[in-house]
Amino acid sequence: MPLEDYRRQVWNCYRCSSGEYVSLWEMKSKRFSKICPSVTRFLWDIYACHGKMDCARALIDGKLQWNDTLIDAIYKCTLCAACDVRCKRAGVINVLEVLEELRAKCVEDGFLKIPAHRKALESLKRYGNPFGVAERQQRIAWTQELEFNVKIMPKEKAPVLLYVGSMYALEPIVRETIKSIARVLKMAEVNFGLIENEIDDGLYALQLGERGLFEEIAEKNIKIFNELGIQTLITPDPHAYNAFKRYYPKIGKIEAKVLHVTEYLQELIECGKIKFKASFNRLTVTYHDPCNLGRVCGLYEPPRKIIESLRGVEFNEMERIKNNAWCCGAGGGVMAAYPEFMAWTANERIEEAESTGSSILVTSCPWCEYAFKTAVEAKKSHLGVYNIIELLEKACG
Amino acid sequence: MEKEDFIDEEKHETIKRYLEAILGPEYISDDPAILECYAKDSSPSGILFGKRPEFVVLPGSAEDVAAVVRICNRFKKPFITGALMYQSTCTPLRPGYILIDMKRMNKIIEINEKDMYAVVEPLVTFAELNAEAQKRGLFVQTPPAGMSSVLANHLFAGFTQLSWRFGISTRNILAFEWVLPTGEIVKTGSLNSGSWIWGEGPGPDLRGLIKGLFGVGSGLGIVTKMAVKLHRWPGPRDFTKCVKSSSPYVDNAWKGGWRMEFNPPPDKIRNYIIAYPSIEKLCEAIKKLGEAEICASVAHLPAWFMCCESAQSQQEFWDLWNSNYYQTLGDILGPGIPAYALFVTIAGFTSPKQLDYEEKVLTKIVEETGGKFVPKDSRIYYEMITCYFAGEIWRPAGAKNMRPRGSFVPTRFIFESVENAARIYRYLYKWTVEAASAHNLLYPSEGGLGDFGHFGLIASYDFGHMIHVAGFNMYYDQSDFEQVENVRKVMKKGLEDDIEKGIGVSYAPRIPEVHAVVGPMLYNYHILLLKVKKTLDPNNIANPPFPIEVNEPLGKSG
Repeated sequence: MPLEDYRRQVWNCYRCSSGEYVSLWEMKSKRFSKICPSVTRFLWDIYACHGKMDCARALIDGKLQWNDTLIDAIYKCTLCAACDVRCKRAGVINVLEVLEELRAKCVEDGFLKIPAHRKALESLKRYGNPFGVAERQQRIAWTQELEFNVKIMPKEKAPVLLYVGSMYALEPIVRETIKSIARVLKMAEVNFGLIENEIDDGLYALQLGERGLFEEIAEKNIKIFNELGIQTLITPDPHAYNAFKRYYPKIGKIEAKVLHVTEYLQELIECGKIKFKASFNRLTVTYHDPCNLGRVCGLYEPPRKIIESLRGVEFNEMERIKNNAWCCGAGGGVMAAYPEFMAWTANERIEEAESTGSSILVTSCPWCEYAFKTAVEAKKSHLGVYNIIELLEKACG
Repeated sequence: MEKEDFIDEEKHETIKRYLEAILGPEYISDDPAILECYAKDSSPSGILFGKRPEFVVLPGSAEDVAAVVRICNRFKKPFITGALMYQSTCTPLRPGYILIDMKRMNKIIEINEKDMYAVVEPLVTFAELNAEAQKRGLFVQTPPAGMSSVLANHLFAGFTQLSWRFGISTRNILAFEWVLPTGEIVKTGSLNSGSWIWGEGPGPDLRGLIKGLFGVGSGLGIVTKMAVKLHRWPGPRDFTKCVKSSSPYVDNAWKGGWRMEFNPPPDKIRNYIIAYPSIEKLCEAIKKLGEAEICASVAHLPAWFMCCESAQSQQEFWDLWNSNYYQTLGDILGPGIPAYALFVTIAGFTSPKQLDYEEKVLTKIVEETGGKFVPKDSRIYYEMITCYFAGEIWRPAGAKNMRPRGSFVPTRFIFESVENAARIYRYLYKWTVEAASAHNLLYPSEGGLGDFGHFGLIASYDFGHMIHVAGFNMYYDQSDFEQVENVRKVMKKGLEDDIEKGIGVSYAPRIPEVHAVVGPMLYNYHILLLKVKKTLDPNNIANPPFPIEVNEPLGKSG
């Protein structure tokens, strides 16, 4: 809907500040009471969801014009949806939709001037990824480091498509995870393949406000997926999962069943197709809920069930979990444009993870892994950061 | 645009330099996008007349606040203070203000377990303080706005469901630190000896100057630290262990609303809903419970309130309302017979024996007054246990009254003795029906009056020493200025009628001219208030026209 159609909603923002804090009934301490990285870091009300509702109201009514401060506020936000979920406790505003519309309006009105974002969008258009990697073959280069061959579609057929996503395909810091995933699928005797010349899911474009590009990418992907004749599409990237489950249906239908890799693997564990051969030696683990997987798409239990099925692991939850989870800081274009804000946000979460006494922080998202690994290195923390599947691979021997 | 809306640019730049010198440029702003976020609140006045401040500043300490206030005096610049700004009164209604946003002052200075108090800065919320206090076996009673400021609410009456037992929050203030409108910092009570426990004297009790039914809107200065009483928390040290939260997540989207099952240990906290056939009988029960000095919380909640609590969406609110289920409490007194609900919580603050004793006395009083307990296996009891009893008593979040239309405001807060509660209730009902026709307000409808006919939250304080009848809420769409203007008309008419009919003075926030009308009825307090204002704020820069208009204080009556 155009921003103007949200007029009644944004006018009725009550400034209750729910969007800044975790659920009151689940708040365990003052230290970890906040849920919005933007306003916690930058303090001015404009960085809180109610401030953005005020700005939307004023833009609609012609009382405010675009300026650098406004653009800064709307893009220094990971679109983690914490404020959206918290507002729905009592409010009547679709906050996340308004935030997305603000960005779309910023682009339509010609004000998307953040260089890192413009570069990312250009790269998406030209190369099918936001990272400026021109060579499409690079997307499957990681498969060369495996001990076995992986089927490459459409030349080879398989009922299960592993949609890798741009982060796992191209970012070296998280490379080990995608290899672990491939190995676990192989061990479980899953007949899977990858797409040659896979293109990005496009959520990045949508989140930056470039709707048209997102729709173009979505249409292409839906066609590609449907022509492959697959039964199941699994992805380890919650951003892709979010795109496929929540946004793609507005463009077209993916015929295959879409699952996050943790959903898929958890089912395989339950029906005995994955067997554990090794135990950990009293490994203390805490889990970070990725926003796009948890809060946005409602998937909290499969990753937890996987952790709980591992032998020798002591699982300690953080204070802010599930729909109260603190964001890693990487989403919504923040990683590219505001790396110091991402680092600050990730660091907050690292401190929370450390407070559980765990030695390992696991997650199930490449963006979160990237944010935490870089933060841990900068902080020289003792905390290890892994994807759940890496632990699963070790447990499978 | 009025002449005052234009800014003297040279003066603006000079003030900006001064502010930057104290706080640093990163903590002051005159950017229109930032200012816009402080230009409106949800009150009718804030919606219709709210103005952008000229500056917003973020001080980090009482010394910073004092320095800003001294600059305001030097340049005759008015200031207004804001914390979380939930539910109004923090938006300038005139141009040219400096808005002091207390966001950086968010520390819990101390939780003293032995003497049972906490010292807080302005931006500590109730939820945060309780998260820390409950771990220590203590808690702060919380109004239905758990995300709001502890300090600000204690200045602003702060009615909570537990005020039945612990008194309204303004009576729980101990010592405090206060920046006067001149910029001087004052420490009150025993704070001058280094202790926070004593709020009165020496000399006159200064707490009277900073608090009020709706506070003084920083019109007599800014409180920068405050010690508030804590009380024994009867539940488990980890509050989150006795709640189970679930929220509807359907088709990859949050559908809104929350349900929380609250299962405290039964030897610690018990909850009851009692149905009465009339408001008179219900008020009789309140009186007897007060005389017996039992219970933690006693309140009449009307059907609209229960629907707001229970509904998980706007549509569900209307479905519930139209089903008439809550109006009859599920036909508990017979098919279609209206029933009035008394919500009671008892807690074993001292021991489980206290709980058992109070339950026996409660049962006896309910019998004597003709009440009927709503069964604990009934749908209504389940709905309220999962929505109200935990959420609105021990860690209330509030804000659910937005369900019907998007925004609301209570138009009456009438304080009376328990003896007169039913009379007031009946008067308000009659007034609703008459005013609805007089103001051509459709009933019920958009911006409708009277909580749709089943209104009148009755809360009682200090074991029945007084009650307040709150209502009727007007539900309105903030984007529809005609509805908002109607709300103002109703509030004003309500005040005038209440005074004329000898009811007294009801809720009238953000209408400073009320002093001129009401003052002569009540020992001419407005003359005293004006003298206090002029003494403490000689330059009239502390959020004029609060708490009283200096330039025309006596209005037509003067």
